Amino acid sequence: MVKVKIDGRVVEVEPGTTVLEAAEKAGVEIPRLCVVPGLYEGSSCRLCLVKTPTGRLFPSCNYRVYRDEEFLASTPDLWEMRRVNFELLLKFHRIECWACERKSSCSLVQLSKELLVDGIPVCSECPLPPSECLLLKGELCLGMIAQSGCNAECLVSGGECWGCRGPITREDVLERAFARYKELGFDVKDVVSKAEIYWNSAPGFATVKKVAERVAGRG
Amino acid sequence: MAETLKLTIEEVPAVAGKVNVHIEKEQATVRVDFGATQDPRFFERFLKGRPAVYAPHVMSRICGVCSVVHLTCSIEAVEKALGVEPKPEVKALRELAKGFENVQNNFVHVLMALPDYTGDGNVVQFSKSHPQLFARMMDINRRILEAYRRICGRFIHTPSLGVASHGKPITKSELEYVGREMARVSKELYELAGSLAEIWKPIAQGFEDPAPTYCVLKPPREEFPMFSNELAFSDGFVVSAERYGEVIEERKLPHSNAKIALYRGKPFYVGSRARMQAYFTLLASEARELIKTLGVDFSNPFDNVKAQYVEVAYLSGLLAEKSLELASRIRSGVAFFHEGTVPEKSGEGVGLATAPRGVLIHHYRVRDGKLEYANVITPTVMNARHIEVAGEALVSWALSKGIDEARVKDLVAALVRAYDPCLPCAVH
Ligand code: SF4
Ligand code: SF4
Ligand code: FES
Repeated sequence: MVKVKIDGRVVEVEPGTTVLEAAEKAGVEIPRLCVVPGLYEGSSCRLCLVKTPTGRLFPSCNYRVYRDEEFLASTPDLWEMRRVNFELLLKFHRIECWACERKSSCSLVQLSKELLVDGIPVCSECPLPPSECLLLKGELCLGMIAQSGCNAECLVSGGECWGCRGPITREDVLERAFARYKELGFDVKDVVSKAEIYWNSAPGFATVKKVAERVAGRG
Repeated sequence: MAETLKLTIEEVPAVAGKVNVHIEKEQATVRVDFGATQDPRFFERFLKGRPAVYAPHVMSRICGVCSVVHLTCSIEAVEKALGVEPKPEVKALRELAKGFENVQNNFVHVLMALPDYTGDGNVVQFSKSHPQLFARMMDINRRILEAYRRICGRFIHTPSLGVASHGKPITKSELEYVGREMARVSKELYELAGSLAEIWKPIAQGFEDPAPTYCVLKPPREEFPMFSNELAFSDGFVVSAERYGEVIEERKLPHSNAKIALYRGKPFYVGSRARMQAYFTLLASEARELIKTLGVDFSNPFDNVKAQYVEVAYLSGLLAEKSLELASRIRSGVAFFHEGTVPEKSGEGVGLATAPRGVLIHHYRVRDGKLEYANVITPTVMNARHIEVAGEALVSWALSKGIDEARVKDLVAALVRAYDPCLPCAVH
């Protein structure tokens, strides 16, 4: 057995255990995305970064301990690096939660909440499946362009989203959202006018209006 | 006592919103100042030109404490303006939601005002001197809220209710739960009355309301009304919703941002004291019995709080009946009452609703689906002038009884609290 110290907590583990597993045993939370025990050994997403007291960084899912060692897993700079890594990964993800059948069991959505990244709409938390989306019934819901994080409070209680927590500002997501509004027969102007009620002085509203105009301008 | 008595209460304690009271004996005036320190919020103006169907969502923000009444009254006004008729189930659920707000809200008001009557002074002290009673009341409040959630989902600013729609899916068993729970709550409230009557002392016994005119909603059917198309005054006058402006006049006060409302130029009052008199014959026999048990004196403004308690007990029972009745009408499983789009018409509508503290009026004019004009008269505005004249009479009454200045101040503060625990809606 070897002793592993993570964030000050000491656990004894079999030699060859990964730091991620040791952390789990110690009750220290480390985010992860790519590793699937027994199937994929990880090292790709870099969300599980930890460091040694001297500052050496590595993914905890793929680092095995064979002697007594110490690691840090929760410092602010680690969380910041994980957030940046996650945002980079998400850049290649076509965010379209409103049309996603798997949104309720999505690990990207889970992580985006832990890491506070921009670009995940309220639709990700909406209890309605895509086929029941309020937009299909002609109700103007702002879920597609609104910042998630409220667990879709209003949708849960049977209302539509008014975006009270502010807009998302990731332009490609906004583009797709506005295109969807248009496709479903909503006037982009009406969407912006509804959004104005809560967002008139919100920092990201200028971006929303810019993208809306761009989408409206397209034939 | 000097003739030039001048008393000021800066910020009446235990009410939401800042209220200053100035008492001047020289001219025998009491000025209750609701709005001197609050900026107007322009609710009636900033929706202009926007879709009328947005009004309920936005207007309900006038008050976070009694949001359901603004929400539903606004919905009624928009529906009337657009000529939309909701399904009977939607209307029934809306009435349930509204009833729940009156029960929960007035129950909390009773709890907050009670220490004035028991001599405890404040709720913390009250909870210490009557720990069991307090715990029981808190438990009742929690259960009312739990039941409320089944109808509306989120408690504050529920997103569930809209124009011609009730968004939260409801199951038959949920409604049955609400029915059972509220029947139990009602029973407990009646039971509790005995022990409450013992500690619930009258304030200013013998003091009479100098302006006994009141206003309530005229019941559209033989039942305590949540909404109506007519207003009824205690002098027998009845006016349709659309013509409220002919008898109720709203004035902006020179010394504050608040408004007051007068009935044919005179002060009048609204709230449970008015309702329990007006609807006396509609009440269940237990409720009428309860009025006796608690010794409610309808001519004393302080007894508004007792009237609230009676109303809460009665309405809990009524809600129980209504929920069970509705449950019997829907088949098992989940029921949705979502309507989708509303026509973009023109028209004018006045919604009337029974707010916890009185009568609420929302008046809209709509052109092609867009809001063109909005006027809102809140119960606090209606009571505002009445509190002042009652306060003036109270000061004279108290001084004639040789009551000292400090107590006079307490009495006036307690009077404000007896009408209303929260005043921000006087400025909207
Ligand atoms: S109802 Fe609203 S929040 Fe839900 S998926 Fe549709 S747009 Fe998104
Ligand atoms: S309006 Fe606010 S609380 Fe409601 S669903 Fe949208 S972001 Fe969430
Ligand atoms: S979990 Fe993806 S790199 Fe460790």
